[in-house]
Amino acid sequence: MMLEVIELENGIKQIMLNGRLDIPGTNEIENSFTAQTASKKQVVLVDMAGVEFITSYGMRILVSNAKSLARRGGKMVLYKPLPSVKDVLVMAGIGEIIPIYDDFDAACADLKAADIE
Amino acid sequence: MAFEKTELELREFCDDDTSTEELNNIPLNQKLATTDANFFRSGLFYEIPVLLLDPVLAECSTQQLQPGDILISPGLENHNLYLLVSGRLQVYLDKADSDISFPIAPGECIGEMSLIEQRRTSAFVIAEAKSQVIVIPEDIFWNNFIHLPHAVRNLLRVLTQRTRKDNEVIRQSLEQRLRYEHLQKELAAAAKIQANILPQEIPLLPNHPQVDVCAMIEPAIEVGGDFYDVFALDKNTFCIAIGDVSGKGMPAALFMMRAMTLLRMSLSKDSHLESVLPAVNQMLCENNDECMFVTLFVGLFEVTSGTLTYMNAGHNPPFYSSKGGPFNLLEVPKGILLGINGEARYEVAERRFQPGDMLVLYTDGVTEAENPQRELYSVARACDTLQTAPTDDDITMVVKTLFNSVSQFAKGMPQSDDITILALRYRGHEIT
Repeated sequence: MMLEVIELENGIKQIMLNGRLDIPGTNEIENSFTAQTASKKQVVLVDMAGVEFITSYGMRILVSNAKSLARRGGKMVLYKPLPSVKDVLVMAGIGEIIPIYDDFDAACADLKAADIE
Repeated sequence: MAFEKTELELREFCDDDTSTEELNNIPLNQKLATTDANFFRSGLFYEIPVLLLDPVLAECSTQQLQPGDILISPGLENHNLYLLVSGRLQVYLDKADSDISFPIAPGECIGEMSLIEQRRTSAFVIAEAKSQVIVIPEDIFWNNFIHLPHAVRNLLRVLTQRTRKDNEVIRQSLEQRLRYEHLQKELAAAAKIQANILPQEIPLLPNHPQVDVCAMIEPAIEVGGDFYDVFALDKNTFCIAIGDVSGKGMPAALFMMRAMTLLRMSLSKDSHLESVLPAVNQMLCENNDECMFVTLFVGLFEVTSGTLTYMNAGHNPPFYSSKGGPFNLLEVPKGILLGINGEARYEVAERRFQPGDMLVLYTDGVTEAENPQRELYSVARACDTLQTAPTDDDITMVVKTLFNSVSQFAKGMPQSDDITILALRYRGHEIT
């Protein structure tokens, strides 16, 4: 499991995840993911395009960090999950807590709006 | 004191007087990676006069080791005594990657036991850093070194220290093992408590002859996060539920117990799903800093009319077959996992069963089981398999057929998630 961070010019932090968000994969990135997301007020776009597989264990770190981020006044969105991963996220109702976007500009617009608030 | 002074003087004398003709006599300590004069006055060489020691050392050689180099492997003949000059060695008592190990520091020696006993070596000795050792060959050891003054005493000391060290390592590893065994026992006890909370009667719901119900659970590790529940509310109505807690092991198991207990207690007080599920969700959200959550499909089945009233909180939609027809996914209302959002809303749905209709609940351990090619078992495979299950009276065959098919598909891949299957067939009034 790989995690890469890009600070976009519009103030959004893009976190690219690559690999499998199963138990071992999630354990590999859990600490750095938490450090990169929930540590301060910010807007975070989690790029899911490289995530091949997700289990409830993987969803847990997305949800727990999105919630702590929200408590700090920040926001997280998920961007472009593979159809198989999206099905799992939608079935679990994750979209109610973390918006899921396939369109990059729409994802950024949502985050920018949250950033101004 | 007087002796030490003399020794020092002697060494200085030797060092100073290293003329070309004498190089053959004392080449070794010149090649050594230590300039520490104390090295020659500690451990094996303690109080041995330098003038006597140096000619013996001159018969020895040195060996350089890179990190990771193996100096000694177990089970081999050993004809040398090694003395670490610089760097660091690690002794592994059984395997090269064993947890049971201890370090050898400069000044300490290694190989003395197998040399003295003339037995094969018993441990791995591996360089942890760039190291240098003096190699004292067997014949030099017995014929020359051992006759030096104080050599025998020093050797006995070294052996005593080694024994003491070994004892300490063994004591610690024994302590660790006992602690581990204790934890294993606790875990087994927890797994038993968890298994006992799941209904186990065969058949389930013996007092409701209008239905056949069977369930099984195969945990991936001893204490898992999957659960199912089947219990009667009255003679007409029973509850079926299946769920999967995020995460594995003890935290998941504790959260599962909490979810199951809340659901049972709430439904025993109020048999309306539409008010019970939001309340259970709210309670699971409270004091949930670890952000655990649980998927849940829960339904109330009314046996006289064959009506299933159900709600879904992020759980995989069950399979449904109408009168022996193909299995398809039951349509379920969308709803978020329990434990995340205290304000979440859930909808109720209803399905009227005809005699012969079948419902199969499962967790993602079924559909996401992987084969060695990393393909998923998938909903499609599950539907196909259920189609082939024997449709005779024994509902357990439906559960077994699906489980066996998943196991065969995985072909010995380690089971990464709990597998839970619950099957229900409505018989209606055919036998009442």
